[in-house]
Amino acid sequence: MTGRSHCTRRIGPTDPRCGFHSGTRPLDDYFRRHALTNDQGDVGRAYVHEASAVDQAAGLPTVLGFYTLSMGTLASQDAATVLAKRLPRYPMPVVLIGRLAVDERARGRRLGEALLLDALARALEASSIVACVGVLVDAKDPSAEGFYARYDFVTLDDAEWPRRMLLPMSLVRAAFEDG
Amino acid sequence: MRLEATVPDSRGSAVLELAQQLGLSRSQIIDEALALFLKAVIEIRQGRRLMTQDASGSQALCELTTPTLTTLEWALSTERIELPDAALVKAQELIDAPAKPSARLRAAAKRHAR
Repeated sequence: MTGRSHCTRRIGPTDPRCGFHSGTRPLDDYFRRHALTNDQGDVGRAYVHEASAVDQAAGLPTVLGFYTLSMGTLASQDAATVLAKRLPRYPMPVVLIGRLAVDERARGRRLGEALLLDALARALEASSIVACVGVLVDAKDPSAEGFYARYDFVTLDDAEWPRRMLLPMSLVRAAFEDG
Repeated sequence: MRLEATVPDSRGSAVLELAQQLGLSRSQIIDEALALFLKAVIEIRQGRRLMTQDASGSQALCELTTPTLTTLEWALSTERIELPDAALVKAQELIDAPAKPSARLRAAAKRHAR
């Protein structure tokens, strides 16, 4: 069993209106308008990093960061080539980290790392009951790609943005076992 | 077969109370509970949800779930991601022969586990 930050929990009904502001409009719009409904509709689980009482007293929002998780399968764009080449014959199940963002007033606290590791811990836990070969992210820009690469994610295709990056589940497992 | 489990005190007390009320043994209660859970997992795996309904059928259905069943249901809802062949081969190679976790990732996992 892996440990888990006590500050990170499932999104709640009042969270979208807490004033979370990452500075990236699509992420802020998603959090405000879609994160809760997608979570309730089982489309994508949303988890939030809750601010401490001290932070809230200092005027920070109740949510300092969030991420979303869902499941996906990796498959070839061209099914006909699967048999001809040495490609996997079956879609490979993966956990998707759809979005991950930190409030701009809480930068410099390693919350990005805390959210990512929380997501990896939950993905590892899920992999004990549902098979998945790894964790996949879409890095939107070079800064995001650098962030995920620092935690061993590998870019699968560097021809276009967003970059698809994969971290094998066995590597996640080894990291938590070593830790 | 004999199985052993550690459960919260409150759950254990509830089993004992129920056994007395229903005139069943603890093993019978646990066997029935396991049968229900196994059936629930089968239903969720087939894309169905468990509901309870009042006898008249006039009131709203109430979903019956547990954290494990919710995780299972979430995990079975998948998105298909199509990759170019070269990217798919690279993914397969990474999975077949994963590197060891870097010192940074190990340290981060250790911090997280604290």
